Amino acid sequence: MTPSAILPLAALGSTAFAALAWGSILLVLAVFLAVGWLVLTE
Amino acid sequence: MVSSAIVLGLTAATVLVFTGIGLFAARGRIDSVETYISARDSAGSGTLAATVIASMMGVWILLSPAEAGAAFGGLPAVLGYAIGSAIPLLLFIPVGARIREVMPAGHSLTEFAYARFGSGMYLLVLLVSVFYMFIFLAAEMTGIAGALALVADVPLWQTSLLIGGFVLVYTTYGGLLASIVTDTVQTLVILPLLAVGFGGALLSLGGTSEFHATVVSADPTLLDPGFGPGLEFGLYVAFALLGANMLNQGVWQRVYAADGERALRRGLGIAAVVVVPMLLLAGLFGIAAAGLGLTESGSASIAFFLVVAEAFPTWVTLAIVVLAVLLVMSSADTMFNAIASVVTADLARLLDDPDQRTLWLGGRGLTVAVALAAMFIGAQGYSVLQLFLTADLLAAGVFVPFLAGLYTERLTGPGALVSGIAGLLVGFTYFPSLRGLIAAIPGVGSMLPAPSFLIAFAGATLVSAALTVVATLLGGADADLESLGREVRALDDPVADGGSEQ
Repeated sequence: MTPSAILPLAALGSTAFAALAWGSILLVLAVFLAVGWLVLTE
Repeated sequence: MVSSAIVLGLTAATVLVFTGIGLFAARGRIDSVETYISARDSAGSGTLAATVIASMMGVWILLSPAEAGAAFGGLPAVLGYAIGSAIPLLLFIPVGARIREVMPAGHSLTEFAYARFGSGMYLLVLLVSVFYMFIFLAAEMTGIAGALALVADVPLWQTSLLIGGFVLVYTTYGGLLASIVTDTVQTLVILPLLAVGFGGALLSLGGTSEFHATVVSADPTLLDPGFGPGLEFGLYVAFALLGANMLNQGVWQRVYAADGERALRRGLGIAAVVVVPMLLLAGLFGIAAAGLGLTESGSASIAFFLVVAEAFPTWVTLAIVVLAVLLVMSSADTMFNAIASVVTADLARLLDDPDQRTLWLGGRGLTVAVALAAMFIGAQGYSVLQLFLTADLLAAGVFVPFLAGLYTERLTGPGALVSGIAGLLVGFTYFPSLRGLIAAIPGVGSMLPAPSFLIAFAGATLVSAALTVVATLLGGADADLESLGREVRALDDPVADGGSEQ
């Protein structure tokens, strides 16, 4: 039995997709700030 | 299409600025072969995070995850790529601490392989590691040359020569130190550029709602987290990335560069956190390309740049060009120095008491040779996917017995070698990419099972791991791990004319 036969087919909703995309962008920016701060304070 | 003159000018300006930074950072500070291939205990957690991010995240992040999203199963394939890229970094936290404990004056993974297991396993690890790193490098050069050709019609050789040539200048001069300093600055440019560029790209595609509606109306499985083929791809790519990265000398060099265990832990942890959204965002554009019908001509491997060329305003395209150039530079300098360092560290052992000048010539000569070969391949426009998968499979079969040597004194060299080779045999038995070649071996073709990437990669890893356990239980090698640290010497005798030698 293939995984697709076990798991229901359901595309990610629009809100969840937006959260995934914009959340990823915000996380990248947050890590940029963290790395920048750590480098400057080394 | 953006003007090729503008793209070439922007590329030239980018490589010139970072070449200047690399040369300035290393000026007068490279006084021995030791400092050329090692930056021991010099990087705090921020610098370590930055250099690991820059080194591992090449232009492949704009190609492979997007291709996965477009052609290998949509969102779950992309998630597999993203999470699979973070796992090796997390694993390197305990493994890196152990490497530093067992071989505190070490330089390379092959040094460890030889000291711990002897010449058989050393040759296997050397072959797999250098093959993987060179393919990585060639793929980077091929990727950026193809990308700039697509978005601005820049001839392949011009991109390859421009980027490879300038990276070669500062890497040959400043070694690992130049690589780490430029990596740090590059990461601090790459991260905001990626966030702003991808944010602008999302908006230029109509925002997330329109993006979502377009993709779902074209093919809802692209955004289905439970889509079977995507899950299978995500699983095997995670195995592939794990093995390959554990045998990446560029990461081993940075393990030694960490300024203590706390910096190692935090630096690798931060890098692991950020690679997930970076790859996820890149993968979404492959999904967009498939949703927009841009990949129907079999061009999924350049899906990201198809969207760039089709839908983005000029400023986003130029931001992506700078991003791609920085991604290539930061990975290429790492690979140039990593391959050179493997061989330089081994030269010190293989030659009969070589002087510093011989090692210098070896280290720098190899950097030039590796760079020229990669630039040549990059200018040809070959497809390197099959070679990349082969390199990943080789690493998947070898890394478990290799790393087990850090933890057990009972695993012998022959035991590790047999475990690795058995894993490789299982892997190649199921490997779809070389099926024609393997089936051509007399008497083998009819015995081969149905090909499967998942079984090939998981099988290579799990069989080698199981046999490593058996070999450890049966073995009585009683290797002295504490003595490894004494066998590996530092290469830090100053050259005759010191740092001014460059």
